[in-house]
Amino acid sequence: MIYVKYFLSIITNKILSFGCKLTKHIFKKDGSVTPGYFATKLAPDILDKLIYPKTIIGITGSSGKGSTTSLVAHILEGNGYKVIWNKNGSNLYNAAATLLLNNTNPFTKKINADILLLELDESFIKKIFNKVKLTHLVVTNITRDQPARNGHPDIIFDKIASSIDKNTHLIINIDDPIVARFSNIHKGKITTYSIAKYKTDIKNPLSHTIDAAYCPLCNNALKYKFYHYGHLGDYTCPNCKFGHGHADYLAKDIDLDKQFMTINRAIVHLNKNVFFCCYYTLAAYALCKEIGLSSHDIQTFLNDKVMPSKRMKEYHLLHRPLEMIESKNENALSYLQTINYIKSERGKKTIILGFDNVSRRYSYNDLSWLYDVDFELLNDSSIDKIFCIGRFRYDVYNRLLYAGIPKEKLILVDDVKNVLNLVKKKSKGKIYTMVCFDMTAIIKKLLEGGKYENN
Amino acid sequence: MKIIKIAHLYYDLMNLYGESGNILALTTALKRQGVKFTVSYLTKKDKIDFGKYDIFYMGMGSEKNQAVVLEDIKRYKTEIKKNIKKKVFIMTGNSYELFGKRIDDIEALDIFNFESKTVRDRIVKEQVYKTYILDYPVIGFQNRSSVNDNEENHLFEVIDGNADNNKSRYEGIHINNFYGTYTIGPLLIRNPHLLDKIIKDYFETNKYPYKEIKNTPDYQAYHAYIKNFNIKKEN
Repeated sequence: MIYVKYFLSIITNKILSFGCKLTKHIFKKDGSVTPGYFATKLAPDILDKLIYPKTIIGITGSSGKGSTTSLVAHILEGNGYKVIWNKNGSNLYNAAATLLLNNTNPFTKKINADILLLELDESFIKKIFNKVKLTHLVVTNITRDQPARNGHPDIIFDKIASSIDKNTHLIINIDDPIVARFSNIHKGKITTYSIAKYKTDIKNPLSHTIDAAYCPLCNNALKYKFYHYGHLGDYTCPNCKFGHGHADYLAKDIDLDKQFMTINRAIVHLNKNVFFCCYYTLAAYALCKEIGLSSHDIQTFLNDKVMPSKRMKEYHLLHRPLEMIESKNENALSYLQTINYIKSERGKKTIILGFDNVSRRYSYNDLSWLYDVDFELLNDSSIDKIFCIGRFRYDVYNRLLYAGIPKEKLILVDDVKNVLNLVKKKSKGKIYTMVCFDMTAIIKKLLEGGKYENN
Repeated sequence: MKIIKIAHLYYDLMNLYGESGNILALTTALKRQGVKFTVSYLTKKDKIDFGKYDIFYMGMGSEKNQAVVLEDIKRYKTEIKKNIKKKVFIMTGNSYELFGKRIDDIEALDIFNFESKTVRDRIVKEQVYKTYILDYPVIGFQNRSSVNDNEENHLFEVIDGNADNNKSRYEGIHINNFYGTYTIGPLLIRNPHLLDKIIKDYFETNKYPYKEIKNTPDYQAYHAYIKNFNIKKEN
């Protein structure tokens, strides 16, 4: 009887997934969550009962887990492995269940893959891998991120720490002192990665809001040689000697214009000209090397058969290029990456900024994170105008004024449908949208309405 | 008129949830009043002279950082007691718990008569309050893992949201020029009426001339929120 339960659970998942696929256009659901929800209702312990592949990799952290996962999948699949991975970035429990059960034989309960690779939300590692444990876990960074759901970095650390099995091989970014703390508590194997000093590093943090000014072990102020950004950099604790130390995989000689860097002695290509790309390339390289691939096998799929960059399609608005960059609300370092990227671009720029909803996961109106984002950096002569859109446009506008951006550069847009007309009339230079998911969809629709697109 | 000295206490430990925005709000409001001011950023390694400053601000921190600050700030207990009635203290998030008798089992500054306790489930919610010092509702957010048992001198009454603890209807504390609340926002940016009231009272006490300025973008944002979310003045 008990076997029937698991069989039904797997079959239900497959049928619902098929149904979702067929009705995608009607219900506007991609079916990444619902099937797993019902399947695990039928058999709550189904994920513990599957027969897993020998290698089970998790990738977690406050940001960069999606990019790292995609790149690892690209390298592994390129090298002939059958990889099951969450392509669409759905990283919560029901989504993981949907993915796993869709790739499971209902008779043998065996997952049909050589390697299981999952981008994992920090809060769900324990629930998904309750009995079966990860063989490898990459931790990219721990920063303030969706505080209404995650609380703060200490809580995120504790959640990850409590879900790590002693036999899991950790691959961690030691530029982040919060992540480096795993070296002090994990009894199993640890591999570390780091980026050496780079020309855009800073001696002092941009603001007082960094997440790890103090030693996570003894609470004394950390001494930093440099910061890459946020609290990521090279640090030591003068009191207890907790520190960055030597990394197993060190990235250096970064050239973002030519898009390459070296990791230990291997030259690797970067598929984007942004600093952040160095981190996910480094993490992917370190992980693939640790699971047994040769440098050559990895380099082939980083350097020759390059993974196409996920950057969104570039649009045009009356011959002016328009790039849509999706920023994650409630994640100051995600915004910082976008701001730094826009700043590093040449020429005059116009920015569209704003949101209707703070989060797609909950309906809280927590706006405090706006003051953790270093919008001060946009107070730059290359920025021509910033258009504030969405339901919280006054709060965004006010934040930008507090960041010291002159009033003349800021435009409040009451009707979002009018934003492109206003941009066309009132601003100069390349256009960047620095908005969250809801506004990306609206602007895309306006652009794809045909009226504005001429490429 | 003298230079107003602001101390941002434990700025690098009690710095969650955009709390530095409160300092931006304070300094911008003082600029609008045309007065001179300084901001000193003080933390664990410093020797804080509580007699030297006019306005003290501290924000919300993680539970661990709150404990670090509690251990450190106790060395100033006598000095804080000496200055508590004379100076302005604006304490947001869990920082105001430091001024109670205890936080869980650890002795705190023992200036006000309440104890704080860690709770299992975090309190995460929008807040709407009324306050006897204003005719306008106060808005904000809370993200905390503690409650307290304060029974007197409340700053806010709950219209919609959370009180000090789940049995109370009141939140925060207001005694003389001490303002304490769990509310983040940043509180002083999202509530320009409250910020102006605090500054106005401070100016009046010190006999400084005060200008009413109501057409700032903070007010625009506040009124837009009140309208968008249909915020009521009463419950």
